Amino acid sequence: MLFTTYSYFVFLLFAVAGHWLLRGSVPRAVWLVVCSLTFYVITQGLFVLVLLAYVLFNWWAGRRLAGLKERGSFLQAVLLVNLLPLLYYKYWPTLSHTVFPDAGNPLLATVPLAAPLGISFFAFQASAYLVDVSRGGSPITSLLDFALFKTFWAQLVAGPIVRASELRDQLRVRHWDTSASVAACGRIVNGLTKKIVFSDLVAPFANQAFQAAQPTFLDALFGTLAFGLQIYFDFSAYSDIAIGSAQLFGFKLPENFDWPYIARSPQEFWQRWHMTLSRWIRDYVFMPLTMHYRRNPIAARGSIVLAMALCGVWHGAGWTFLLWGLWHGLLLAANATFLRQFFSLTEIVAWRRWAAFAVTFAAVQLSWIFFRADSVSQIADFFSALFTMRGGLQRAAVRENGIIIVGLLWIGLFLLQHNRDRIATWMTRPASVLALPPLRALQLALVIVMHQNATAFVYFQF
Amino acid sequence: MADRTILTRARATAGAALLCFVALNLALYPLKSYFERERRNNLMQTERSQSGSQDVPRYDWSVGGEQQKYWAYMPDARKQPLVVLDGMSQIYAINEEQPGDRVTSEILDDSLQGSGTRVFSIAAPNLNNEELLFHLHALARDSATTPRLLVFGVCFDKMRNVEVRETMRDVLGDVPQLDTAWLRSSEMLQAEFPELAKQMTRTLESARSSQALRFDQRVEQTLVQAASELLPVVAIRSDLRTFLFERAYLLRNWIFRIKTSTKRPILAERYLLNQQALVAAIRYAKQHHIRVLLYVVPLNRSAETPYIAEQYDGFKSWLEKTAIAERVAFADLDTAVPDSSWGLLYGQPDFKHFKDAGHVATANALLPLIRVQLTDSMAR
Repeated sequence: MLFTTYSYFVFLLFAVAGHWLLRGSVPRAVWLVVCSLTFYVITQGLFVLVLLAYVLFNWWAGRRLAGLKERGSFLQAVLLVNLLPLLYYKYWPTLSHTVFPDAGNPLLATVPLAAPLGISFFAFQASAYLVDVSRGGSPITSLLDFALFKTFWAQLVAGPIVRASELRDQLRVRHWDTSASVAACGRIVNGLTKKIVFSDLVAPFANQAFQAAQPTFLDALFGTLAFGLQIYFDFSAYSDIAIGSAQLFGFKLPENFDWPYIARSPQEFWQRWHMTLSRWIRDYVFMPLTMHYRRNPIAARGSIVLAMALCGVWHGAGWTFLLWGLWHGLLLAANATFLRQFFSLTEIVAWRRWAAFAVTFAAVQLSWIFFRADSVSQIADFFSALFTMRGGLQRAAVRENGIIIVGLLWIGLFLLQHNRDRIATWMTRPASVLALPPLRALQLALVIVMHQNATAFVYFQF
Repeated sequence: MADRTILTRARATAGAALLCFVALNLALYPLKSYFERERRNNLMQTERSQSGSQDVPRYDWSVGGEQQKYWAYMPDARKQPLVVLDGMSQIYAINEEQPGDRVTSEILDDSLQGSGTRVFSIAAPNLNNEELLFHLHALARDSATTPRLLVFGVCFDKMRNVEVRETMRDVLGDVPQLDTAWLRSSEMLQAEFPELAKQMTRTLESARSSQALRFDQRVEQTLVQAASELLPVVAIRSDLRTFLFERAYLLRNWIFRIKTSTKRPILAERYLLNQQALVAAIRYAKQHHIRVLLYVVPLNRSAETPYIAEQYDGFKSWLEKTAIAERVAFADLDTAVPDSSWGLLYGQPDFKHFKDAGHVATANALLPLIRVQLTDSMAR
């Protein structure tokens, strides 16, 4: 059940009504777990058993871990168990075909045909929970609370990656808040607009370029820029709908995006893009690696590259994702060392600020080539088209409308980013009370009009 | 006090937004008939699909929108020779339509029925060559729909379009036989036409993924239907979308000074895919004993076209050479329709869509060629 379907909103309405009609925290928690499992069964069928296995195993492991004095080896064992389904469903299909290229190899029969939706998210969340407990955090002792923490659909499939400490207090105590609920509805409509009106609009133009056998300079340029827009609108839309949906039940989930394309350094980009994954990588991969290599400065610097390479591989089992991670790792390493001054966020000279912004923007957009390409050779082809200006101003695949729409959307996004504080201030003024209702009504109508067939969010593949 | 203000404001905003939405719906309701008229003006819909005509359809009135419904009217190819006419909007659209006007396929059908041959058209707007290949797969899967002759009007600017449209792709997902045939073809084409094979694989993957969601879609369709009955904005959403895109298109044209005659160069990748798809379609037809007649569609020579002359000449020359190499019939009907038979589109001379007389002229030009093909096929 996609977040952009009528079915989802009927489901959401039903779940919200049931939740607030029930009295007491336990019936409400039971209701939400039932709704969450129903959501997963409708979307994924019997893969719900994998999710349930994660719930039971991690609930048990967390409690057991808290009772141990020596936790190291037990933690390693349970983390391995947590990662095994992820390795099997996500990495075994690619690995097996690489290791056993012979199509007749019997081991290839063990390759799963599909993976449970969101397995990367819930496997990482569960692992983080166990690490937190091993570091002295208290486990969630109630199975009902833990099941709600693990299965709540708004954060299950594609994040935000929520920590137990962020949700623990909200699992039992939540209150209806009319103004927060109105804001949540507004946020959901914003998310729908981003996905249906913008992301789905530019997706075909990115496809045109990335499906071309030999893209020209203009194809590669506008295809890359189109994908940069598509993935931002798509993923931040998903996060908006997820956070807004959760808010209707009184939950406050962490933010995942904060105007990432305004960043003036690679480091700032990662503080604004997929924020819950960035902090996961920082806290559970980068920091432990840095601590481990604290006596070796070069290795400590290299740990950011390694951490980002892992972040890339988390997105998918392929060289393209590994290269995407390495690209960002190298950018972050440069940001922390020889380009530290260039990317300084306290820079006061305007042209230097603009230069840092331009370099960051270009580096991030180029990184999307790694992310979207089907193969390493396609990455090379795109870079070649861009840097040799292949075909001059000729186009081989992207249509005129693609160039106009992508160009206009980027201009619109830049204007919005530049004026974001003014817009936020205006929203608090009395005049907005008059202007906002008709704008919201028009926005909703636009979403309905542009909605053709629900398309899956890009991050569902991870 | 501050909390109460925030609460009151939130309630007021939500209530007013809902009221605005209701008002918007009420305001949109009368636009329904306007949109129907617009759809016909833009030649995206046939008059007959909306008029509740009692005639038995002799072409796909939904122009690709409800293929399975209208293909059911196709005369049984097992009982008499069947000729299928395929191509873009020129084949079904009548500019300045008058009662009693007939489209090319109907004129051909009336002319050939006496000799026991039936004609049916499956044309759709902007039909590209991968869609022609798809049509051939769909036709050839059943002997009742396998024509003796396929007549295809090749239009230069449709070589810019790729991908099988969703309404057709869904048929691919619905019929396992078609899925298998399409897969086999894409595998066979891999060596010679890798770009086309890749495109066909993408089409199949899209069809299969939409098939996998079919249960969800049924529930979704029921809900959308229910919402349509409640909210006019849902009921006329596709018309509103067309309206918005059309206005955006006109705005684009105004800003960039684009006219219907502004030159538009070919897009090399898309052109190549269409070339490959046409050759593949011819070969697929021949494998299934379907004869093929290709013709260059008539153009209004008194109107300026968006074609670059050298590219258009190159296209015609390539098409003729391909027809000779693949041993199929070819005709250049570029100038077959006189200047007086063309109409207007967006207030400018329409270079591609003609009035009733244009259909008569096209049919008259095609008729002897079709007769030769049918006689040849019977002789064999």
